[in-house]
Amino acid sequence: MRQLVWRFFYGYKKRTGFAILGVALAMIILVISQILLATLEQASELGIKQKYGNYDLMVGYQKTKQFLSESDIAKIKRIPQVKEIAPFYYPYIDENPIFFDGSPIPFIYIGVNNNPLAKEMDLIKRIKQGQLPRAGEVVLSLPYMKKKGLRIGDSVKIPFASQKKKRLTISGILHVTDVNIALFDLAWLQETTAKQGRITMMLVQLTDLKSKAAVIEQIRNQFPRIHIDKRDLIDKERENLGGLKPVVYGLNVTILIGSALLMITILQMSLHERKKELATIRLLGGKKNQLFRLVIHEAILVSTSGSLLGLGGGVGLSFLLQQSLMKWMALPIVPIVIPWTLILLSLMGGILFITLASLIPAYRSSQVPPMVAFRQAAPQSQKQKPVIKWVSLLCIISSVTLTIWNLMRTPSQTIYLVSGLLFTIGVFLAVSWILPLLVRGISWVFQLVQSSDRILSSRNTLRQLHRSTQLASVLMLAIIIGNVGLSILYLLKDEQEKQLSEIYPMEYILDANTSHSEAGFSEQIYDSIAKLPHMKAFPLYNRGHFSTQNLDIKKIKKEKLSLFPENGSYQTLVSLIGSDLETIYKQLPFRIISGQINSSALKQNGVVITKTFSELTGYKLGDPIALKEDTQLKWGDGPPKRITLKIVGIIDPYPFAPKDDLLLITHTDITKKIFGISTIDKIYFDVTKSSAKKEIEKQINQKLKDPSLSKAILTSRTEEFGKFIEQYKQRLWLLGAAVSLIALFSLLGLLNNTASSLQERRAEFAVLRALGGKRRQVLRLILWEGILVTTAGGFLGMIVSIFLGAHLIAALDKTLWDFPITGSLYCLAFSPIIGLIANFIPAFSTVNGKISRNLTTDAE
Amino acid sequence: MNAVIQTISLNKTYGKGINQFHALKDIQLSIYEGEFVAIMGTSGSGKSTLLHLLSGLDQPTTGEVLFNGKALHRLNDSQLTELRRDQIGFIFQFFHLIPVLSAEENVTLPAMLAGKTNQQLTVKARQLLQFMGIGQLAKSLPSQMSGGQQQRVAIARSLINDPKLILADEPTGSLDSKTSKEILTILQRFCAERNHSLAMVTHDPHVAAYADRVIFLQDGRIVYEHTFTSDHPQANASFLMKVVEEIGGSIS
Repeated sequence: MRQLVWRFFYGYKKRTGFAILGVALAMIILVISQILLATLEQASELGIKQKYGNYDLMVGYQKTKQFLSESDIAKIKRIPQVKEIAPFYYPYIDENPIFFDGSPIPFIYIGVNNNPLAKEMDLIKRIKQGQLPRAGEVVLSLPYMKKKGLRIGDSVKIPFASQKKKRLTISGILHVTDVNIALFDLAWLQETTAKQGRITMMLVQLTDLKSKAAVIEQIRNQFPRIHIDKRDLIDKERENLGGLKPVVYGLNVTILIGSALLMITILQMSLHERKKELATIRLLGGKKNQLFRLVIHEAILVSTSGSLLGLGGGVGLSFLLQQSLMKWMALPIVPIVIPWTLILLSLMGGILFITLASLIPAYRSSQVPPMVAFRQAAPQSQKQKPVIKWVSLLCIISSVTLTIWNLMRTPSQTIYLVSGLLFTIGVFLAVSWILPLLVRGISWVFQLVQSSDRILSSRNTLRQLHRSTQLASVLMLAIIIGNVGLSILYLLKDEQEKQLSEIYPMEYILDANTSHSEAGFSEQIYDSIAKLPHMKAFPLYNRGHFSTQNLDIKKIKKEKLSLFPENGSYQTLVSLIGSDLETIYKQLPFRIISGQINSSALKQNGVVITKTFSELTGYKLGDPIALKEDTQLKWGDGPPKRITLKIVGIIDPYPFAPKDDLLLITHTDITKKIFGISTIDKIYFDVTKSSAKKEIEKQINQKLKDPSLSKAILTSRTEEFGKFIEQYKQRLWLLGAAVSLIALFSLLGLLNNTASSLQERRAEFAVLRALGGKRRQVLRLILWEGILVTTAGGFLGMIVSIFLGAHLIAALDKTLWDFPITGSLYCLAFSPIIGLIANFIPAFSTVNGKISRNLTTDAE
Repeated sequence: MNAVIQTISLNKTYGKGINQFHALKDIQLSIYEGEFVAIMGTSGSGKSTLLHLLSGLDQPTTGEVLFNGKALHRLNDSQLTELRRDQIGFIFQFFHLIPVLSAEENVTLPAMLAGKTNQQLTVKARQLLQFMGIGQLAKSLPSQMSGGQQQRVAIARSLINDPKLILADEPTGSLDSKTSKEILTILQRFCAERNHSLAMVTHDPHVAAYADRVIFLQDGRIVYEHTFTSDHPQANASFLMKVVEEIGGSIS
């Protein structure tokens, strides 16, 4: 049996070669994608660690009075997922600032331990000369060192709040430009300031990133008022890679399906060609299961050879194409990482999957009685069971009916999704009977403009169509994935553009990145930024959180509001913000639906609400709105304050907040004087002169090096959109690669099919030549056959992708008609080319074959 | 009489060196207008090779084939194709009808390949089928016809362009004796009534007996040639069987 398997494998070189090539191509993509992901993952982690430091949380307080004691630190260290901590101590963070030598900028004192994790902090990384301080040593910032002409090893007297001065040796220089910082040994500083064991904040490194949320929860449970910097920015950068993974895996699965379909087709053709040999084996006493095993062994041999070739090709191509790939996908160029275990597991999975796919032709072949196999001249189409035809029709009709019904009522997104999937399943089940109809239709259209010998090719196409049905399905799959994927990507891009315009009414946002009721930027900081040249800036003050006191439960949309019982009625939580609406209106116009936005009206306990606020809560122009400060989220000390404000205007929208934000806008005088909210949450700004942008960004980033602003983040719309475009390009590239590969599978399959079919019909074409058919005429006839199959497949793919794509987009809460049809038409124009290319080589070889030799070929 | 086709010192060799095989050696043959010539010989004697050279489907190693005085080797592929399409009709042992075309469409196929698709052609095809006695099968596909019916369609196809020469390769090889006789009678009538020339390859003396003249090929050479004087196929067949015995080859 083994010898026979090997003989069949080796004897049909071309066919085996095709099959191996198909499997190898799929495996190459599988291997490249795994290598790409692993490399990206490593590059991304390395980049993140280099850029942001190798720690996962920053935990602590920004006030001198609040601190973590030794026992607190021990508690945090005991959390199982905490791998390492690095403590820092700021003795004078918000009081008793130390000025010395007449410098107008106070010195920030920081105690630090000499441990590897501490060196991950951006500030510590700035010790470019010297080393971290030991007891009796200090590291000073560069401007002060320069000003005083100090060098490492010099002795310097440092003042402390106790008015005592200590003489210390300079152990290093901190390269910061606009702040004065002095770094000390942690234990020495604690002892000197008589605060032994006190820690202001610490860096935390986790054993596993997935445990971040759990660790945060545990810390919060023990220290409710502690500030935790979750380092969201880093997670956001990781998200890009996380988002890429499902796309890559999804496309890999599709590629494997395409490869398996190709394998099934090639095996079917191969078995058909060897039908008589296999029948002879049966007649000579071969059992059904032996025949079955023969085919399976051959499939294993093909898929294993293809996989090994794919492995070699994938690894080799990864090295060869690394730079171009990374460039096309807008990724940083880094050394390649080969995840061998994952690759080998994927390859084994692939071999198993393809071998399982070959069970179908193997079983069919073993079940054909030997005499039937001998008699059959042409491959018999696997006649579809009538029940499948009816099921496919039912699916298509139900889908169309569901869509029409859904359009006639308030559309349900789920119904759109179900309808789209139902239609797709229906068409795939119906391919074997829809495809001939389409071929007839296309032939009929072309007969009107083409010569009558097309009759012959269209009839031949129909005669041979059962061979090509699966391959037309593969082409359909490529077109559907390409079109639908492209539409979803376009949609995401549009969405992102819209979302970014909402989030960024201006080009830049400087976010204080503080939590509820935590102070943001001081007005001085805002002023210093607003005064920069070519600057147009608006402050978004911190908001106060209030519960309503007079909400009319009858007027509200209950399902859209979160209500809680208060004073025997139900109330909701709203935010109050102080804002200069008049100035904002001049720069970023919004709709004033009713009333006014004058500062004078707002100062007299007036408030402006948004249209959405009015719709959700039922408050109207002129209504009083009674508010009480939220106990949990209130600003400052003392009991919660109450206020009643009168609605003087309704606007749509407030440019600096999402539409559905339950926001009340009043004058800053009220929020400042009554509730003590005088800090700024975000600063929105535009730089009016584009050439000044870089300089302004640089200046603001310099300001952010001040440790008290360490949490603040500067983001820009262009930068954010640029990041999205990078991700978009990566996904687009992957989609293109997957679609091209699946199209290539259908091309290879068709090439194989045509070669097999023409071999069987060589006498037929020789007759055409003998009867006076010219070479180019016969060539055209054969090419036309390929064109008809792929055009029909492409047309069907286009119909499904338009239907499915439109429904998926509708299911994503968009209009049903948003689907871009142009892309589909490109696919339709492209599909005949696949048929043309696939048929060209076998057609060329057929027409150039010796007529006299081919004529003597007996009809089988 | 004018020779429709003529061969001058025709040689055909396959292979090289020790594998060289002489399929045809110094063949001198002329077929005249309205003449029905049977080419007989053992298997491998060069009958089919000669037919292929006469039709221009294959090229001789040396020598010439003249069609109406025109040397075939001077024609390019396109001219040869046109010559086959317009001047030569083919009949094959296995009929070689196009399975997806109806009988009528198969008959008009050479005209279709020439880009002619007028109503007159269809009428002519029907007339030819009628003449063959299968007019009622005009719309049938080959798979719906018997072997004899298919060969009748093939003969009608060979006549659609009124060719000067019909080349038939074992036209009755796949048919029973009764159908064979009917087909041969039709071919005889075409030569006599329509002045077509016919070269027919066969190994069967009963088939060759319908011809006007018979030539015997052995090892690529013409070893015997005879023109019948009798119109009785039976008598001619008996004569031919004797010749076969004399030549000593087994023609089967």
